[in-house]
Amino acid sequence: MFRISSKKATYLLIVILAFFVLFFAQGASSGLRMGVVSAFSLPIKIVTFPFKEIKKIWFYRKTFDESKSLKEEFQTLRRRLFEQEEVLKENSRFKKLLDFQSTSVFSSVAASVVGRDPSNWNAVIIIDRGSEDGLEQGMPVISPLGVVGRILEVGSHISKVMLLTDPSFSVAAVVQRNREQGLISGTLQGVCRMQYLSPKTRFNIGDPVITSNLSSFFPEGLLVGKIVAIEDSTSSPTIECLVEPVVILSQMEEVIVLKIPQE
Amino acid sequence: MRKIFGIIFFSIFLFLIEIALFQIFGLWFKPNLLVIFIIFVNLRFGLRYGVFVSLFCGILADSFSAGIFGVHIISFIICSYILAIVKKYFLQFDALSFKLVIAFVFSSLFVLLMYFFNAMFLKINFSGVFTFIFLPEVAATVAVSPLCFDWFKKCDSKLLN
Repeated sequence: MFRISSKKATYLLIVILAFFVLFFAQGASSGLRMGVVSAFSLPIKIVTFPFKEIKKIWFYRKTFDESKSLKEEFQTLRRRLFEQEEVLKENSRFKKLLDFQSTSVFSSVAASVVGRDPSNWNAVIIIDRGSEDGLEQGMPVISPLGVVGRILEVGSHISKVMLLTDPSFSVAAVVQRNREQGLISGTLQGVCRMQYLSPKTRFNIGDPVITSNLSSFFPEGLLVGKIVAIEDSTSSPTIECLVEPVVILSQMEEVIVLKIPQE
Repeated sequence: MRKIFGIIFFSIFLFLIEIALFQIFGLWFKPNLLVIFIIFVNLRFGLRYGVFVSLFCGILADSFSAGIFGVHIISFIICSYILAIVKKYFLQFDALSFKLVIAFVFSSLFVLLMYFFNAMFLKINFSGVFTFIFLPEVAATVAVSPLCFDWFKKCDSKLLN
């Protein structure tokens, strides 16, 4: 009769167990995942710290030039901000006149980027805030420039953030210039793809893309990125655009989590 | 027991190095050090330790990933089983050409297995995987493999045995 040694049976059992986890026990793995990530947060901080500092020194000249141009830009923006404040004051006066309900402003939490998933298959960062700080799965993560991603898993003091370039990420968005609605999703190449756009509408390279009011996770009007390529296929009834994120995701060190209650 | 602790320590250390390299170079220089280590452990200590290191490295990699849990584990374990078969037919483990070929074959196999298992759950474009994952990852892994194998061998004689 067919006999199998105990050694071979163990190897077989390991494979069966791995397949079982892969196909049937995804939910059960969440605790283990966050446990491993939490346990490694400190070693990652220690190991990546010198590399981050070396990178800063390496890009010193570039940073210096950037700082110079940013100072000039800052002066211009400060002047514009002053004008905007005037417009806002005027706007609030009109709102009072029209008896508009005031919109609620979400509270937020600032977090530091502790580590990244080194795999090329996903785009994930680890941040140093968790459920103890009031974070929940699905909360939007932004930077002062625009959309970064959303909370994927939450530990007590650490969370995993899925970046907008991850293939599993998607958000409803709108092209700011012509208000054309579409769906932004991540790709493996570090840019996003905006799908389901009408071929009748004209798009330009450089058009800003913002979050839409149809998005269930993100507030409306957050900058996502700019159109860098337009892909018009004759076989498809819609057209697609490649959108470059406005945030340089590989160089991000701090993020802001918007504490929007998730359903 | 010393060997087990040594393997765990090395797996963690290599994973941290991968994170640090990714921080600097991004996806364009991301050698898969864990695959090289799994090849080394399999060839040096046999399938028992090979499966153990695959399981441990898989849990590490899957924990940090946003994808399906178990994809890395199963891909590493399959690589280990195939290595156990391949091992029977080779005698010259120290030859440079062998190191390069085996690193190329198994890093390629790993990416293909990852694609296969990911494609079961997600919609993934193969040309994107080939250009942005397969080419940079396999090239970087092959490039650093001789150095890594030599380094692991030195460490093995000092630490693991």
